[in-house]
This record gives sequence, structure tokens and C-alpha cells, in this order.
Amino acid sequence: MNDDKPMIYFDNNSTTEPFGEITGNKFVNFANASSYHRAGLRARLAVENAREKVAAFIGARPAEIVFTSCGSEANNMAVAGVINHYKYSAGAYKLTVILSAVEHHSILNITHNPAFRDVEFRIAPVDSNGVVDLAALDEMITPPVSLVSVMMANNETGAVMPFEKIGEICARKSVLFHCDAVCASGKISYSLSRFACDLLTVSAHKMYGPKGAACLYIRRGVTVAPLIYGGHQENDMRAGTENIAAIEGFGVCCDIVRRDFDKIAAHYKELKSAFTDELKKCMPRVKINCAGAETLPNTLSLLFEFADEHQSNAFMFNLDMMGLAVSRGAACASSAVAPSHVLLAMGLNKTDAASAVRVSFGINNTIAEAVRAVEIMRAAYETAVSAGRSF
Amino acid sequence: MADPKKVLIGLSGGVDSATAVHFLQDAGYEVVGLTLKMLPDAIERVCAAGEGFRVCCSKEAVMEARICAAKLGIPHYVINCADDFSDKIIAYFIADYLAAKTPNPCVFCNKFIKFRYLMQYAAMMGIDFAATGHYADIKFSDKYGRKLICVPADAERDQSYMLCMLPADYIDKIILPLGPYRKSETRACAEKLGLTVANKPDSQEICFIPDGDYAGFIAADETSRSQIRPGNIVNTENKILGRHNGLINYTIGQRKGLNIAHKEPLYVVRLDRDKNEVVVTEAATASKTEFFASGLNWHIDPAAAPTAECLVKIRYKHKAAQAVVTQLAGGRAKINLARAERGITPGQILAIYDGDSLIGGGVIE
Repeated sequence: MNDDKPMIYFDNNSTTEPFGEITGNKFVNFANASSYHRAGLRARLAVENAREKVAAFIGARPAEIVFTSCGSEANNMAVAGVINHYKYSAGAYKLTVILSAVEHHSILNITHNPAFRDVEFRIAPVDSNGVVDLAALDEMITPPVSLVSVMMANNETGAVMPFEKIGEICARKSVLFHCDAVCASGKISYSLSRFACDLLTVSAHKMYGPKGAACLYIRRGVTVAPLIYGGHQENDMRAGTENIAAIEGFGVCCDIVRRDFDKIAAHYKELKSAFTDELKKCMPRVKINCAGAETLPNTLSLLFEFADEHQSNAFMFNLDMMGLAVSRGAACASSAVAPSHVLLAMGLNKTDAASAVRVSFGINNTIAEAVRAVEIMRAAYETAVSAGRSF
Repeated sequence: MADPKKVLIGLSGGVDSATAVHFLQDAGYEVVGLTLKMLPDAIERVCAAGEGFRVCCSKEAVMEARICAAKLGIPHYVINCADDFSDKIIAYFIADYLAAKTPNPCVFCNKFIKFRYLMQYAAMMGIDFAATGHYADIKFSDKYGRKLICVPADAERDQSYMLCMLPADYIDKIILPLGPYRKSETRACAEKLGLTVANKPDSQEICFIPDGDYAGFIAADETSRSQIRPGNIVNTENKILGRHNGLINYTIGQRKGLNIAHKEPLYVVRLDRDKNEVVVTEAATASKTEFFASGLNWHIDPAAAPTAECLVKIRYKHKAAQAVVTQLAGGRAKINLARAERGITPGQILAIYDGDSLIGGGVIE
């Protein structure tokens, strides 16, 4: 696939290239962690070692970690798990759940579940910088609200939410708080020992770990219903044979990111400022979304001027052909372009919301790549817009 | 060595366009694939629900195109032109039927959607040529001093008719890689390349009507349905012979399904929209030699167009017939066939050939 051409990979919010320490894992612990024999015991140890590492990374106790197959599963487990527990076990008469307008689809689309027709979902608005409106959210949290789910930082724009304050409000009002930290983890510093949160999602592959492992933190004392029933794995919270290689990798990446956090964050900042400086110099008309908010150090959402969606399509295709991998909106939305729900919620028009470009840096990127990427963007843009409109 | 020339190919997810990529690569081109998502979501849902419905631009087909592209080692991109397709093709299709004409959506899709977007994206992506998996060839004509679309090696598969309304200036920038090959050869090639599409059936007639029930499709819309009324079937002397259930269910030249007992077979010769009548006649008077076309589109300098010795096709699978094409004012033409034909249908496309070369087209009045 023109693979001889070098590619600058600036799409690290979609997924990251795993650490070398992880790709070397050759499925040594292939046994079933539930088996009684020594091979099973070794596998069990691998899973529990990983659980400790993940717990240490987020500042939780190992027993509060439930491994899942992906962030979407953990998000579903959090919201559906709370709803199902309250509805069927705790006998709640009326259930209300608050979600922010810019949540990932693995949160927002839970509202489509026909089993939840009688649940009231309230959508918390965001401001023009894509940050949840704290006052509006506070006002929305009135009985019988059971759960608030707001992400730590947005995957498309990088906007960081006031998650600590939301945690405080929820704790004060005795409402459960779920925080989707998939995109924020490894990029901003947080610890569950320092902020009030009942449920939290982390995924390995967004922080240089493997695909196939994620977790839901469930604070001790909080009860949610499982999504998957079967064996007794994960303390009866998630049946199914553990994906040991992926879980081990999850542990390893948590360890490395925790150890090197300051270095990684500093590298992101350098990349972002090198890129932004070059962009302002070479393409001064490009607008940066969420400029008025704190954003993740590795994420930029850019708005280019296009006459229509086709110019913006061609621009994206040119970037790829010229060797720059970025993304438009969230990864899931990019094969056929639909306007981003995140940017629409921020008040952007449909055309802009369909054409924003997300740049997300990773640890393997270099300053030279950041500078070169701007050069590619300019060339790709000029080719796309200079073609004229006479067809 | 100069950089290889680039080609943007329309990938449908089918065998023809996938194999065309291979032929282009063999010829030394750098190929980029583009798939157009044309079906509106509502039709997409119908297709997804119906067993055996497979249309050339469904979500499933898009995924097939992506897999083909990956196997062939080319970049692949997807664009959405569903709105444009609805506005320019589906709307025209419905309007034509309601006007008692028989539209040809493929011809206009090629003009307004497929080739237009391929040309536009090629320009916006700095790509030299556009290509498709159509069975037609492009050759330089010494007679006209320019490249022309022509009948391919596999004349039975000839799709050049479908390209007769393309703007002439597109032709210099189009490559039709399947021109020199027979369908059996492209299938064998696809199989050899391990393209899973090799044994897929050919896509059906109208991509946006997966079950083929065009009358039902038109009647599904309420404003359209109100325009479909039963009326009389009459002969050319205005004598009422029977009843019809809406003009959209009839085409010129149709013989079957009239439900009239008559000593000789009857053919539909005219759909009278004003009187809402289907006009029928006996075989002897159902054929004619003279008809008119409008909206003429020439691939050659119209002044150089031959007035005698043309070949014309009056529908896709029509065997080219000898005719004299006389140009009239306002982009119209009068066509005189050497031998009388049945089924000269308003709304259908007239393709004009000089030998094997496609030189123009128009819409039958």
C-alpha cells in the first residue's frame, strides 16, 4: 500500500503503537488462569500482577479493577451496569442518567438500547470550547438522578473536563459518577486517591498497550450488574476466559507510562508547540478548536477553510497519499464522513463539524515530523483547493 | 525515470473495477481507489433487510472495495454523494416516469455522479487520470483527430452506450482498462488474484431499486402516487380497448401484459400523459423510421459529424442500426433509421456511433 513511503503517524488518539516491551510478549502464559494446575497458576499470577500495575497507575486498589475487552465494553458496563442494578436489584422506580453531549458513542449510544426505554437520559451541554458547562450540569443533577457520566478529556478535541469538580458535586449530591478516562489516561495526571469517582474506564491501546484489554474501575462499595454472565472470572463481574497476553501488556504499559509520565508529557508539549508555531507561520488562517480551554498536551483539533465537503475530503486523502496519518473527528466516523457530534455540540456548523482535522501526537513522534507535517498539510491543502470548481 | 502517472479508479466493490486496478498496475500506473457511497440511507436499509439484494454501492460493497484495495496494495478512500445522487438521479428517474417517459438513470449517473466526482477528485488530488471498470475502450481516432470511446473487445459486454452523455473533455483524462479484455478473462484474472468478488453475480439493472419493482418504488412517495391513475387503453383511432393501472407500468414497444383480447398482437406506441391513455396498435403500424432527439452531446466537433452512415442505439442492449442523423437547431436532431424499429421510447438515450467509435448521444423525444 505504497508502504515504501514513510508515514508520519499523528493519529495516536485513534490508537497507539505498542511499546517494544509489549510486542515481545509471545503468549508464554497461554494457560487458562482459572485452571488448577501450575500452568494455570502462572497465568493467574500474570493477570493479578497486571491488575496491581493498572490499579497503581490510576491510584486504586487491585480489587477495584475489572478487566474488559475494550473501553467500549467498560463504558457499557458502567452505564448499563448501574441502570440494571438499580432497576432490577435495587428496585428503583424511576431512573435518570446524565451524559455529556460530547461523550464517546460507547456512552451516548447506550441510550438506543430498547431495554432502557423507560430510563430518562439527560444530555449535559458543553460550551464553545467543548467543555461541559459545570453550572448547567449542577442544575441538572436533581433527584432521581442516579448516575452522571462525563469523560475526563474529549478524544476529538482534547478538551479537558472539570472532572474533579464534577466528582465533588456528585459526591455531595450522592449521585454515582462515571468518568471515561480512555483518552486522558497517560496524558494528564490524575489519581483516584485524590478525586471522587465511582466508576472509571481506561483502555490499554490508547497508551501504547495492546488492543483487547481495558478495565472498569468500580469503587469498593459500589454495585453494578455485569454485562456478561458465565463463569466466575473477574470476581463474578465479567465472565469469559481472560485475554492474558493483552492484560499483561496492559499492566506493562501502565507501569511504563507511570514511570515516564513527566518525560512523555514534556515530549507531547514540545511536539504540540513546534507544530503549532509552524502552523501559525505557514498556514495562519487555520483555526484551532477549543483554544480557550485546557486541552490534552498531545491533541489538536484544526479547522481549515474549505468551499465544500469535497475539498475537505480531497485534503484528507492528499494527506494520506503524502504520508501524514491524521483523522477527521473520531476514528469510528471516518470511513464515511458524518459531522462530528462533538463539534456540533460546541456550536460549529455542519460543514465545519464534518471537516475538522484531529492531530494527535505520540511518544515516537519527533519535532522534525511536526514541522514536516505542516509542510505536508500546506501542500495537501493547496492541491485540494486550487483544482477549481468547474465540474 | 519520471514518476509513474497516477490514476484514480472508481472502485465499486465488484469484480470489474477490481480487476481494472490490476491491469492499470501492470501498465505501470500508480493507482488510487475511490468508492462513491450513493445510496440514501433509507434505501440502504431496505437492501440490508432483503436477502439477496446486493447493490453496487451498499455498505457491504464499500467494505468489499476496501478489501480489494488492500489486496491490490492501493490506497482507498470513500466519499458520500448520496444527496447529489438523490437530487440528480433518483429525482430525475421519478419525474421522467411520471411524465410518461422511460428514463436511463445509469447514463446520467455516469455523467453527473460517477465520472463527475472521479474527475473532480482526480483534479483535487493531483491525479492525472480517472478510470472505471466499464466495458468500453478509448482509442485515438485519426478521422476525428482525437480520442474517442469505442466498442470494447468483448462486444457483447459493450457498455459504451452508458457513456454517450459524458462531456467530451472528460475523454482525454479517462482510462478504461477493461476495453481490450473479455469478461471471462477479467473473471479468471480476479480469481487468480484471489479477489473474493470473482464469483459475484453482475449487479442488477437499477442500483437504487434492489427488488426491481420500479413502479412500487415510485408509488412509495405520496405525491408521486397521486399522479399514477388508472385510465384507458386505446388504439390509434381512439377506440377504447381496455383499462390500464397507471402509465408508469407501460413502456413503448411493450406487447405483453396488456390484457386485451385482439386478433393480432398489440404494441404500446405512445403514452399520452395529458389524456392518461396508453395507445396501442398492431405490429404493422407499431414501427417507425423517423424520430427526434434533444440535448445532443457530441464527443467530436459537431460540424464534423457525419450526416449519413451513422450507427445508432436506441437502448442499452439494442443492436446498432444504420441511420441518418440530421442536426437541428437548439441541440436537437432528426434521426431516420434505414429500417423501421419498434420501441423508440421517449426518455431513453440515443447513442450515435461512427463504426465502432462513440461520437455522441442525446435523449429521445
